[in-house]
Amino acid sequence: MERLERNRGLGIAVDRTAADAARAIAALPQTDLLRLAALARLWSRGLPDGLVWTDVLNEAILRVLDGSRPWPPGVPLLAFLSGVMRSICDDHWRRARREALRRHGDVADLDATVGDGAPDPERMLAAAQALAAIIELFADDALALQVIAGLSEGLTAAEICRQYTMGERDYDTTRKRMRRKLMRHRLQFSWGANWGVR
Amino acid sequence: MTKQWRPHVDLARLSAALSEDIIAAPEPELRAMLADPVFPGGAIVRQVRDVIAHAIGESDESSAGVIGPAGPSRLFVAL
Repeated sequence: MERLERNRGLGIAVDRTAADAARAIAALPQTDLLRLAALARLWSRGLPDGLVWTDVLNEAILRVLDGSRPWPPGVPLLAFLSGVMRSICDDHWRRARREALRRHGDVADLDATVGDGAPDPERMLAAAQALAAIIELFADDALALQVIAGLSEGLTAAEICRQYTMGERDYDTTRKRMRRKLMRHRLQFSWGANWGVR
Repeated sequence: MTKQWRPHVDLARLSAALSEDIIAAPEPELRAMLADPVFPGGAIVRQVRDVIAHAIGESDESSAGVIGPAGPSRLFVAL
């Protein structure tokens, strides 16, 4: 892969090679490895076909290293790898749906069914169970439940505060509390298996 | 008219927000998790290191022609 260098005002943007990505991934500190595990578990939960977070992480790294998912300049490595893992999992859900339809002979309009965002019963069930597990985890935390509801609806922080008459400080401390509990729970209790549902 | 509940959409939105939280988690918080004797931080880190070493090793072998691009551990197929 050819390295491109361009002057952009005071800085120089460098397109990273797969070797750059390999070096950066191999040099990640322990704290980032913990983040990477949490991200891999987050995106891979409930995946069909017995695939687990290590499979998703492995595939993400392979795609970066084989050049099919080049690491763009200016994008932090963890955010980039998180996006690659999310995309791998989305693709896998669609593929599993397509194969399930084919197996059942519902092939008349396969591309339209899979491509138009039509509900996938298996994915919806897995998602409903995962959401139920998260809600159960925060059953005794009313503010966290409000934040979860707001985030699930796609609301911004300001909208959540307005909708639930929540102060900014309460919102921030709730997000911190959620992060700590979810990371510990996800990394600890899903040890050896997918978190939430399989 | 009631709106149909789409849990996978809700979960995708929530997961996106949570992924940002994970990425932005402060270093001291993560170091504290790693230092906590009850938390299996060392084992998790070792497992991630193993995955990385395996993927980098496999990628090297693949570029040397030992394993093809769709080698044995490519469990995912692009659409």
